[in-house]
Amino acid sequence: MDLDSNNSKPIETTAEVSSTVQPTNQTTVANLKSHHKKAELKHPSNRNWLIHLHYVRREFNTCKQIIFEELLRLNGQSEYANYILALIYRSEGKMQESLDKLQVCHELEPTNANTVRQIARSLFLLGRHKLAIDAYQKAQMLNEDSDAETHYNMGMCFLFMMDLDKAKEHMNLSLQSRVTHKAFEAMAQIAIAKNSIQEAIGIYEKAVRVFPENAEVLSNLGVLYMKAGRDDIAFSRLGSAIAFDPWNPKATVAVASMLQTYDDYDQALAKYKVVMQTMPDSASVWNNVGMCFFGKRKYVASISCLKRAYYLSPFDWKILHNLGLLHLHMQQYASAFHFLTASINLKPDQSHTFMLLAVAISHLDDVEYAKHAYEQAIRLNIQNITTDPVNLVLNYAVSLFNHKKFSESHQKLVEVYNIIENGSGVIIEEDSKEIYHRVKTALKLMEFVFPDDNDQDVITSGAVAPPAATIPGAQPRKRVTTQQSVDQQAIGNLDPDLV
Amino acid sequence: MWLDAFSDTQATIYTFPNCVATADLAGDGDYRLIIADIGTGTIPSKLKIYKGTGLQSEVTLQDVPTAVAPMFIDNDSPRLPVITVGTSEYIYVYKNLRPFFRAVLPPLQINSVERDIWGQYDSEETLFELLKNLRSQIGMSALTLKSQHLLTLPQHERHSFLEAHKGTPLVRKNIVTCLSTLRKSHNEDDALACLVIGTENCEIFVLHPETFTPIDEAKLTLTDVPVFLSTAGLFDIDYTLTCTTRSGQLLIGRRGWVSPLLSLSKPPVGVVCLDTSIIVALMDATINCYSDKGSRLWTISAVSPITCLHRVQLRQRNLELVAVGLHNGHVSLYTLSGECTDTISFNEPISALYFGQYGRECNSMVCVTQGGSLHVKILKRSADFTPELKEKGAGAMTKLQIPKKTKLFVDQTMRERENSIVMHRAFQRDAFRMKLATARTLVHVLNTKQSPIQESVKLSAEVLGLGPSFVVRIGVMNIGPKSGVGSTGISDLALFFHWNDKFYDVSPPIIHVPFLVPSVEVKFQAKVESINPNGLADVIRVIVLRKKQAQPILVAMINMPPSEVVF
Repeated sequence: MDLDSNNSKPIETTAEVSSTVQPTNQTTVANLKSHHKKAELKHPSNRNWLIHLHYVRREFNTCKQIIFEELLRLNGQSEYANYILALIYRSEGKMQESLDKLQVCHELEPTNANTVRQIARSLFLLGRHKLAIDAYQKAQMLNEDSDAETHYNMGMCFLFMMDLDKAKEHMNLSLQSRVTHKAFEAMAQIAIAKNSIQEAIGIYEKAVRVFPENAEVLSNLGVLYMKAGRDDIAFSRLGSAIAFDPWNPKATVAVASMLQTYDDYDQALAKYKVVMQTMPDSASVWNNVGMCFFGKRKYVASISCLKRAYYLSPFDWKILHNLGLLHLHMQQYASAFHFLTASINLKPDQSHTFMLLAVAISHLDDVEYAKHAYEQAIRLNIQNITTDPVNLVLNYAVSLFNHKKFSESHQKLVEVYNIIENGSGVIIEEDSKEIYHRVKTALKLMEFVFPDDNDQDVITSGAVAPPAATIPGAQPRKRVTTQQSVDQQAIGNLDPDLV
Repeated sequence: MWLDAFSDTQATIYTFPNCVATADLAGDGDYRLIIADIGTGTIPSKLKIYKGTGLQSEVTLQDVPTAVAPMFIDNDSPRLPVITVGTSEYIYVYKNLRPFFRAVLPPLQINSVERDIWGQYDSEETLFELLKNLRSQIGMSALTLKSQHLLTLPQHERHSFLEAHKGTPLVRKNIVTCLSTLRKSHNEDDALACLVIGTENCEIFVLHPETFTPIDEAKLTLTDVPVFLSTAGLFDIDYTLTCTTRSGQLLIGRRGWVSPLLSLSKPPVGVVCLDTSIIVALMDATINCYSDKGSRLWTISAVSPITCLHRVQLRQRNLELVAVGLHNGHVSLYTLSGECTDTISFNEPISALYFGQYGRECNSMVCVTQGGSLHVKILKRSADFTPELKEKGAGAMTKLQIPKKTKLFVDQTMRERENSIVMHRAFQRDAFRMKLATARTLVHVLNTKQSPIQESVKLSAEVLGLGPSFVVRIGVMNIGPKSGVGSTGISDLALFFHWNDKFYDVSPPIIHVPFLVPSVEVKFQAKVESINPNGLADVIRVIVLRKKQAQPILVAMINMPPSEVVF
């Protein structure tokens, strides 16, 4: 073709075009090599649109093929081809290759702020946050207008570097130029990282005012209120989150777990069913469903659910703890022992697990080890009170009694009495009282002396001892009543974590 | 709901939605299908015209077509449209399927520094260096074609390139990225129209219908390269251009004025502009509907990546739908409120979709799959597009799938309940025994030097032959305490064979190892003769000894293969 066609006037080139029989435009390598000998130069970026279309349609293989043809034609010096190749490599997880290609792009088009931003993104994904921040600053210099996205990304870098103040500053800048819920969420994360739930709640409240229909923000806010112990507000926030998005798993799980703590197992199970549609592989949900069944006393279903949770997440100490508890309840002491030891191996600072382990060992007829476990549980409970000390020591006393160590049992029972005496505000469960009195009566028959014999019975004063018939499964044998107390613990120990 | 009108699985068409259109090319009311085939390295690009159930004609194109647009460029009657094809910097116009003329996009301004460099360079090296410096300041795309090509060439080809292009002028060309048409003054199907062009240099031109020159007052300059372009209104009165860019911005343009409406989270795959709303399919397989004010009305996600999007107008019924082509071979039709009303499935990913008049049937769907086959379907008169009422709570009604437990499980539970103490003790005892056995084995291994834990010598052995004669080949390597730099050689080693004399005869029974240099494997051979009449196999031990030291350094066991028996 001739070259005079570069004047903008349309020319009647009928004759020229009709000579299209000759097979030009073949992009074979041989042709490419000899291409510059032809009169007309091919534009380096005349196939960018094709690369772009294949890229957005996710036809990455075809796209790469065209890119490689283009790079061969241009000795690797095509900015857009390299750029898309970098993005494809990134989506394939080849971070370093992606970064290298972007560096080539930057060399070819040093003024393109977008390339610099992508380089920063690659550095960010590679975990080189310091370098990423430098790159973002460079991008800002190339592109003068204040950019919400860049500030947000820089904030995220600082957040990962745990430089919370700088992160907050950048998030604020980002919010100033454009209000996004992502930036609000990052701000709240910063606040949580600073251990200030109140501040995080404040930020989310602001976000809810701007985005009143965003289910994500609403459910996060609800969960935060739950953590802060404001269950009433939490419930209303989560309710509105579900109203806007009935399938939001986070809000639904939070509501269900709340229902579960208030012993409304049927409602909770109905909610979990909904969640199960979207996330059937969540160990936490299976765990909670299992504990719901436990609350409803459907033990086989409960074991099934917990075993699935355990299968999905074998290293979660809470699931193992619950499994141990359940097996203890099913009188499968040998299995309970295994689950509880596994749980302790993963999280050795939970006094409650040690107490359950002690009960299991006591039933396995190894009183010395049971005593060790109880001692450990009491030690841990002093540092960090997670178990009701009355129940703990009472269980200890019952176990000793069952193994006929009456004098030690007496000591422990006196200890229980002292705890109740000293801590005036302690609420004692009815069942615990019942057991306390049974053991006491039995020991009294063996002529042990109790400090509360003389004065009015501290424990029963005020509350009338419930008639024996109302206590479910009340048995004359102490052995079984120990179970009962453990059972009470069990229901109190539903696992409301996961949110 | 659809009738198969015609399909050609051997069509081998490689095209995009922008390159498919229908038009009444002959003026006889029989609409032809126009497909610009991009072609591949060996197959040239072609313009294919289909009529009825077959290919009517083919025109070979000069370059890869970006988009085609049939349009009316004169007021003559009978009303015959021309086909405009955008390929790199040219717009080819075909009339009666014959080349009519071509228009060139206006060239871009050349940087004055670059012009000076080309005007007064003294040697090729300085020219190259100067251009390279210039590139690092203003970027590759701001240079002229000649400079860009020169910069990509390796050193030995530069001279011949400069020779070949000595006289050619410096030009910066523009590239077409998308095409659309805009009616000029009458809103009728066969009214005079202007061509609207998006370019690689981030501009949008409106061309004059008769002269094909850009109308200056209508030129728009964007911040990014346009990808999808659609128009509404009349050029002479008022019009709106809706355009998306490569980075995912949605822009609204009017005469000489452009503003961003919103930025999409991902680059768009297809855009359909309606009167008051815009439907955009994104790269993350979601279909989003935005109002013309930029607020999102709804969003739905498709089951597989979306490849194309096309507007479906049923004029007789006053109904509008959106057809979505998916990567899994489905074409789904959605109402404007986002409900799926119908799905057609093909056995290949969809590559291009078109809906419009073909032949005499005004409701035809054209579909090109990725493998290159072409399908035309006609909508039945009785087709019903009322979406099915979906029960929202249907999913929640399904029962919770709790894994069932067998009777065996219950039996085992009962067994454990009765015998838990015994079971526990048995387990504890066995656990202790296992620990003890492990510890003993470890001590044994350490004592007999069977494991090369702290040793500096590595042994490898292989057995060659089928028997009764074998060759055992032993490789000895000094891997040193810190193998590599700083490790020293080992001397005074010997290999000693230990075997059962009822099975084998080994010679030589002892091999002296020379000085061992670090990281070099030295190989030795020993001949093993099987003397067992039944060809049974046994183990031969290789013991590495240091001279004058009773403790072996390393012991390796060679499991011999069973030997062939000689009769």
